[in-house]
Amino acid sequence: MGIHIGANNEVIENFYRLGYQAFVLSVCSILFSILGVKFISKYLNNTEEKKGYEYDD
Amino acid sequence: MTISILVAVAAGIFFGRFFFPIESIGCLSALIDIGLCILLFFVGMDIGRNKEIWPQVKTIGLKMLLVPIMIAFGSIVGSIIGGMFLGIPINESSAIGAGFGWYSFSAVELSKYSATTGALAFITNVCRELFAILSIPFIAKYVGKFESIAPAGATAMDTTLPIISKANDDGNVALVSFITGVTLSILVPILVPLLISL
Repeated sequence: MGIHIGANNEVIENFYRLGYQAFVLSVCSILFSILGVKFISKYLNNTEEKKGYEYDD
Repeated sequence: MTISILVAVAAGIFFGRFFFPIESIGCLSALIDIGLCILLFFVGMDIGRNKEIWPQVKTIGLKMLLVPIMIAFGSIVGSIIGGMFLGIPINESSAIGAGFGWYSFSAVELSKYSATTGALAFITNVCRELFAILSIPFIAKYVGKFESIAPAGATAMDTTLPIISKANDDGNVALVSFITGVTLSILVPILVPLLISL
């Protein structure tokens, strides 16, 4: 892959732009994946608590 | 491991820039395919070797599989939204997001499509891992324990597992993290080629 990148002038010339794009993409994907888990975490926590009570009994 | 991969890519870029004969570039795709098959073989072997995974899933409950499903969904949607802001086609941005931090596979797979997309996938997924390492303790403390698995993506089963485990004083979270990493690692080789072909 490194050779592919190095042999491609377009990639080398746009390295700074790629860095900026990578920053935006990674931050967006992290934020939305946290939101996705946030959406179901209440349900998971309730399930865990119920299981905890079952074990206590 | 991360450093040795970064060094290998940097050495490849240097070699490709100054020494590699441009007319031989065609044979690189075949070499990449062979390399990917070897990589996937060893990842599969690693997952298969761990016989405790499925009984553990049964113990915690199949509901915990919602965590990797929501991480996958959120990562892809997030990268599509980020890609729309940057003017990147949806198939490329979604495929990059579907790398879930597994830069060695997603970048190599996408470099077959285009060297620029491969390079972008590599930097994006390296950034994701670095941000995960930095943010997991804060997310665990201020947002929630299951949410702290989200930035890690596919690395939740190896590189970032000790950080998640340390940040959450709960054995179940470490187990969910491992299962999440395994599930996402299985999804990456399916979703990346599928999304880029759309």
